[in-house]
Amino acid sequence: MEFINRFTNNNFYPNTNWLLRRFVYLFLIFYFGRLIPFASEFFAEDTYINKFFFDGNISKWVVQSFNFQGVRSLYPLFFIVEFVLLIFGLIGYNPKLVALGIYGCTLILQQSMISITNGGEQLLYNCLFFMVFLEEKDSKDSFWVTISNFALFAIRLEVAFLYFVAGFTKLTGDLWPSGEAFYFVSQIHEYSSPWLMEFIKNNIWVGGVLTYLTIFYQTTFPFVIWFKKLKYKWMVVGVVFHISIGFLNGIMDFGLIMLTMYFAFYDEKRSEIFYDFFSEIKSAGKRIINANGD
Amino acid sequence: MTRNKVLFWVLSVILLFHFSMKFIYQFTDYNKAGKFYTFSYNYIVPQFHFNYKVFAPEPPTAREHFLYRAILNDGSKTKWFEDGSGILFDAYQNRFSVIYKKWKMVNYLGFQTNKIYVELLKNPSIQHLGKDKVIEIANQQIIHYPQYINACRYANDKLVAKGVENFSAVQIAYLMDHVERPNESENSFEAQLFPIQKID
Repeated sequence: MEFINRFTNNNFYPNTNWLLRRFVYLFLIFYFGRLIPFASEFFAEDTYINKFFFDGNISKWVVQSFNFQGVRSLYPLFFIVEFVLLIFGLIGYNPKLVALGIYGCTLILQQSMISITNGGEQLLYNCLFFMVFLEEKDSKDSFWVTISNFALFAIRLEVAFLYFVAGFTKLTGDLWPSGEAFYFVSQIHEYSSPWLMEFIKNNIWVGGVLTYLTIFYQTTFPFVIWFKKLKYKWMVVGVVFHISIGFLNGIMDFGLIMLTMYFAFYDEKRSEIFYDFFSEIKSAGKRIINANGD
Repeated sequence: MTRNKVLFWVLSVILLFHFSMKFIYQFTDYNKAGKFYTFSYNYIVPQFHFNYKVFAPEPPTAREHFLYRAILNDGSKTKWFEDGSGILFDAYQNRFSVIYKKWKMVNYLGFQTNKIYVELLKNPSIQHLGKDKVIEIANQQIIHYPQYINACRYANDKLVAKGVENFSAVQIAYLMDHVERPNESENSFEAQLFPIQKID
């Protein structure tokens, strides 16, 4: 009962919530920014992306609105709205409402190319939903404090769930347990590069080691990440793991999203360092703007 | 019970429900879907749709290529064109670029058409008609699928852009070049030719 009282009266992670939102928004600016030169190929009416209409519930009419005739031609508007909201989000203007807008806009844009999205992008919009409810201040409103604490917990669960699925499903196959999976992936152009193909072909044992390391990391992450003493060590390994996959296997999107989501696991003290650092930059900027000159 | 405690337990139940739905959605075999799966599907899709398996249970084991060619007015055929390799080469130059996604878009034209075509060929209700008839029926059906129409539209646009003239039809194909097993040099190919699509 004591735990419930604390959980419903104290915002455990205001700085972590602030930090997570900022890094996710920065990532989204990068993500959609690099899509701009190719936006017409992915989002315009004459895109070659197959319409993927889920026969799901009523929300498909909104979420998958890009599949309706004429809506795709409005994609520049969605981009403008997305960027404006992201900038508002970064400066902290009406955080929850802006987060809701960012979630909606990102979801609609990503659903329009759902057939070519990866697990990382899907994790991102799932987490953006929970990010709507994060409280960035040490509020006294127990209603929002409780929801915020649950929302951050849900984001952590979502990330852990991804690793759980990715890790344990691998154990049910043949090529992962036999240690051959990385070899096969490395021999496929789209997930490799010419030198990696050659290197792994000549050093098959390296492929075996990387296969087992991948399984080990993905199966242990969902459990280890809840222990304060170990989680940062696992996150450091994760940084190396995802950056390597990004460069070696070309799945950079996925890695960057996973690393961004690691901020959800930061404790308050660590997040406060970032918060203070950015606050310092902000106030220095203000001083420069307000300076009258000597 | 105070308002806070009620809220705590309500949110706990919501969270438990949400992740239970995700668990069922991810781990239930679509083909053996029962009522629990249908319920979770209606809850998850489309707003929470996900697939977190990431190269599991098996990693990809074939290099896949989407090919297309033109059928000229005199009945002759051009060589096969393939854009994926060139796009991938560009993607190698900058891992942070979005070109990889462009490759995925092009490759999926063949991948998705092939997926549907294979399902049509395996349709159990027509297997008794014999192989030739099964192919004939599959060919008649595939031309109505948006995936096939989209892939042919891509082929047509690219052939025009490449300066191919006087063609009356396009043909698309999907090639799977299976990765040779470690320490083996022989690899096998699998090619799927799709019916010719006439151009208006």
